[in-house]
Amino acid sequence: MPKTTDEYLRRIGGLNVLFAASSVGLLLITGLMVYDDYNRSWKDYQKRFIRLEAEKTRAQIKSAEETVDQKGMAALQEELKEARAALDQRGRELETARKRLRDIETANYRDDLSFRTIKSTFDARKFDYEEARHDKASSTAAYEKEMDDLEKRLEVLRVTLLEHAKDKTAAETSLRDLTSQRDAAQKKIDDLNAGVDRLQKKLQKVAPRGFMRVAIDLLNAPVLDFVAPTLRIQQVVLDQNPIDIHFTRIPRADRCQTCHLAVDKAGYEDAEEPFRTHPHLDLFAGGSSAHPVDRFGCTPCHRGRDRAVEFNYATHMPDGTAQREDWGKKYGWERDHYWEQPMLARSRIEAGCLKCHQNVVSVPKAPRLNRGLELLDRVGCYSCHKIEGWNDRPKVGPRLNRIIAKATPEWMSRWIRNPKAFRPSTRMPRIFGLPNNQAPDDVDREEAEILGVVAYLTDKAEALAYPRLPGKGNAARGEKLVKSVGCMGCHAIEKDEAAPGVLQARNRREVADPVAWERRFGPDLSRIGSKAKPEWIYQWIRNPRAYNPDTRMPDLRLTPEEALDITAYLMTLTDDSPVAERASAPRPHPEARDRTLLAYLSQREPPDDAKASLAKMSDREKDVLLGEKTIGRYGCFGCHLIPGFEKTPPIGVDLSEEGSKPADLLLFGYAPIEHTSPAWFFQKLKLPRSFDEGHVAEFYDRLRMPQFEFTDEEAGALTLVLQGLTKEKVPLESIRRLSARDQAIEAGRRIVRDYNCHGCHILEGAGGAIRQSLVRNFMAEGRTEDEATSMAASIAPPIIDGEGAKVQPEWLFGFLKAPSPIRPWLAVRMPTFHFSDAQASTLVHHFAARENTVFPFQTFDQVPPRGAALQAAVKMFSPDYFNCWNCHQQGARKPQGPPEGWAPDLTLAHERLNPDWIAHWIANPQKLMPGTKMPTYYDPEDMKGSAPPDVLGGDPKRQIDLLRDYVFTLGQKRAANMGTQP
Amino acid sequence: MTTFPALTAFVRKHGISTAVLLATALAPAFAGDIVGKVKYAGTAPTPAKIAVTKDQAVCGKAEHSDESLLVAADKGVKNVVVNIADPKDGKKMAAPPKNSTVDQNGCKFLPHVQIVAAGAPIDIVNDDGILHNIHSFPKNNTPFNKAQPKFKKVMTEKFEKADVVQIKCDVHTWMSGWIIVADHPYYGLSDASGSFKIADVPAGTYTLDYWHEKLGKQSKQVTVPATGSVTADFEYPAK
Repeated sequence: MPKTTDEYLRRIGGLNVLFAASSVGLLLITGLMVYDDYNRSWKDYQKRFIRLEAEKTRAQIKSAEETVDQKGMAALQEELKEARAALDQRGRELETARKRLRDIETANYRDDLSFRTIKSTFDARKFDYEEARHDKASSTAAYEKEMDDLEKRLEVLRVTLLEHAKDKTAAETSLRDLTSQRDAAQKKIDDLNAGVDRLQKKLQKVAPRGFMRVAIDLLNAPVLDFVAPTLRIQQVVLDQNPIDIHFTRIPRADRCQTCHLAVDKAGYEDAEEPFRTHPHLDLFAGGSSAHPVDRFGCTPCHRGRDRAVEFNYATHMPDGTAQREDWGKKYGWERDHYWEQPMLARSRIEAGCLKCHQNVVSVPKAPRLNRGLELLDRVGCYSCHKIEGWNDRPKVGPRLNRIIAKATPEWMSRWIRNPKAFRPSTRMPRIFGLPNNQAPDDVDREEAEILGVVAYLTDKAEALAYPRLPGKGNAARGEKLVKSVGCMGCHAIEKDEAAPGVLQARNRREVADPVAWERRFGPDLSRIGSKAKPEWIYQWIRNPRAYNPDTRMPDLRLTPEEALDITAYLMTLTDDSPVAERASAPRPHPEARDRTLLAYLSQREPPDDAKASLAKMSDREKDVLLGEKTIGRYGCFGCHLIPGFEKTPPIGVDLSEEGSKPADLLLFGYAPIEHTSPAWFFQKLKLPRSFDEGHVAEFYDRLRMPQFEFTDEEAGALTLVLQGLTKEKVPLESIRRLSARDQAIEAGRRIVRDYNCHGCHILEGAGGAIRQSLVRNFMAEGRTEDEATSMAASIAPPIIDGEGAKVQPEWLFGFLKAPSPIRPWLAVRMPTFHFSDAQASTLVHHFAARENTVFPFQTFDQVPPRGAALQAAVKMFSPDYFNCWNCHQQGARKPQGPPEGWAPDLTLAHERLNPDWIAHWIANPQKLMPGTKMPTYYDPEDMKGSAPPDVLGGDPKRQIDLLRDYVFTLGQKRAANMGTQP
Repeated sequence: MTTFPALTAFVRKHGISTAVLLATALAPAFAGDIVGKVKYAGTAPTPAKIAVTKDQAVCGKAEHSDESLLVAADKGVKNVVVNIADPKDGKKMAAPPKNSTVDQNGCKFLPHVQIVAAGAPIDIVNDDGILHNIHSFPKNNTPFNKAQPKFKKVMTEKFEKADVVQIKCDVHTWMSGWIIVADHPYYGLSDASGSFKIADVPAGTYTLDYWHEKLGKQSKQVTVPATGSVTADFEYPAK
């Protein structure tokens, strides 16, 4: 054993062992590092996908081979064999022909080369000559001579080359003649095999065999794989869809396709994840879709960590408990707290649309999100919460500045206590009596507060008293009117329309509302007689705007008699609910009131001063003050116009960027829910006060959001909207900019939504809700449902898709401003909405844009038929032919029979209709308006056969054009105002 | 051999298909008839008079009354369609040799209710010489609404699928009729006394549907014997 000496300060042996051990250790660790770096889960996915693709290609090859006509193939092979044999017999001939071609090509090559060489010499000499001549040098003549010689040789060679070309063509032709049979057979075989060959080539590329396979394995081998691996991360860099990381916007680098390899390829619809094709390839990911993957990637819509290539790191979010447990087992999934925008769970994906699709009424192909947007508009979340994009929306509740003319204080207090007890379908949420105010003190305080609110409202309301009714109406006639003139497009009388059991189940939120959504636009009228004073109803229905200039309730142009009848009927609709279920009127609690007021006043002044000022007040003053404080605290003025609060800003939190709020900024309290923002939103919507549970807080510090009684479906849809409201700023390049036409359409849609056109009209495939009521009317008369449905279709308001092509824009504008009846048989009336010029123009433009017709001015150059043409038109109109006047009104001349059987006044057609539409309509009315009473005169399958044979040679086209021109002349004063007529 | 020339002559005269049908019908089949009478428990209503409001000259010739519920003195109901809901032999209803017709005569549809074979042409005749329009309200077929002016005396239509189709005329709103489109032969229509018969039903147990335009649809079970007939009376409850 060597000792430590001066020369060796360490024990060499020991050091050797140490170094040897550490180098081995280092080697091992390096190996481990290489392995760890090499072993990535995405590589396994890519290998699996290669196997899948190969399998698929093999299956395709197999099916392609099966489709190849085997019998035909055998015959072709035989043909090829014979052709080859025949060619073999003429071997010498073939050899000679080939040799000849070769010889010609050789000679051609040689002569071509000499030609080019001489040509370049010639060009050089030409240059020399030109230079010499310019310099007037003595060598000019010598150069000229040389040039001439060269030119002669060039000409000889040029001719020779032309001859070679001719010979070559001849030689090729004779060679082709010899081999033509064989070549043709081979080509046929190749054509037949083309599909299979292509697939074989693909297979070789996908799953190479032999040398290529070894080469690829080497390229993908550890350490070597830095050169050019075939397994590699697939990424798209999205400059135009940046991501905000710590206040810096950087381009996204979406690597999702590293594993989701077929997301933009058709054909993998049934493959297991992550290899499935995008389920809406026409809309997303596909190259020709609106959102191609190279431009939009995945995370701009789906969210999640763009650069991640590992399942958990990408922040995949499970959809429900079952999937969460499944993922826990499969991938060890757990929530990643370090990424603020986790991926949207599958059922919540529509939330991703909203950041780009803004300022639209609805987003295409996003039904749940649209439902949320519709709810947001309807319940008016924006009334209390500022939401960017919903800034200037009208208040959702009625104005309360004249409430004493409408309802009694007693009714008001019961209503405020629990609106849904009186009207279960109301939009007004419940504010009082919720779980965070249930202590005995709270109950007394709330009763005092409710009475205070009523005191405030009645104290501040404009003293408006309506005169007594001018007479007594007939309730039976009133009922008929309410159920036929159009009220039921926006309102319902649910107790007449659904069984009590169904309604009770609906109240418990167990079944969907039996009344159509559009008919919940206005309040349910089932108990209106217990709410509103008859004098108010009479004035209101006659002119809603007199009471509330902002109301969206239109004017149905009711006569005083009609209004009296309707009032009489509505007053019969009283509260029929069991007394036990009604909200009782609150009792006064002076002590609780004073205590509460003291608490408020003490916030601003010393308690003794507060007591002193309170002592000075009368009971009424105290009530009114408590009402003011309560209205201020609960923000009633968000939805209602309340005197004294006209300028007060709403009380709710700004929701414009709610979807970007990380879950840890939300107060979960002790609510037993998952700590994610969607779960919090859902809970907040369902049980808004539940986050107070377990907390200690003064009444004025408790949660204030009222309870809307949303169903799970509704709360889920609104949660989607909240998730979609993010702070992400999308660059303009990525947002689809609406064309002028799209903007016109969209602006119209806004009005259609705001005025509930869908309550009566079918438009863009939706609406026509009033039919529900009309069907029930007929069923109440003993008709079967089928019968009632078809009868309702013939008296329902018209389907207005295609209106832009049908009517003249000027007419439509005038009609929207001041509707006049067109269809005398309809009891239902187009109301007067008192649209502004801007609104009416927007609607007309909407219809014109949808049909690509001209807005706003159009001229028509219909020439009135004269002479023989006029006679033919009159003949076609006559009773023995189309008998048009049998149903159609002709100005003041009415058809026979009751108005149900009448049809529109044709003398108005020239003011109203587009002549092209008239022709389309005559040709096939059922196509334009399925179910119309206008019969089809020309059988679409046999136009010629069904045309009157003795008019205009039985030519349907000419007949229809004539009818169009004639209809367009009716009622015109000598064609005075006809477009291009002189 | 003696029958041979006779058979040849028959085929020559009536066509092979008729011969085959005849042969099938004559074959010893285990089939029975369903007969019965449909009654109405309520009091027989007096059909309301219908006021003619248009084209008096043609439509006003005869009196019009509501035909939607016709009950005889002994409570038998006319125009009840009785059919097997679940036939098992897959037999199709054959088109009649002559087209079924709907006649518009005196501004009425004649007959008021009739059964036609699915896919068979139906002649719609306008005997009135004024404008009618025939507007169908089918559930399973494509609806149509075709004008039939004077110059178009006959139009031919067909319904491809089994259905209950109401037909109306929008010009004369009181006109109403029903076409029952049958895709199998086991259908019967009650006469003025409420009696009906469905012939040659293969033996077995079936669900029998009773349909009436006003009284609605009701069903009951029936077992058809191998020979003879089964009685399947039915009474609609009072409305």
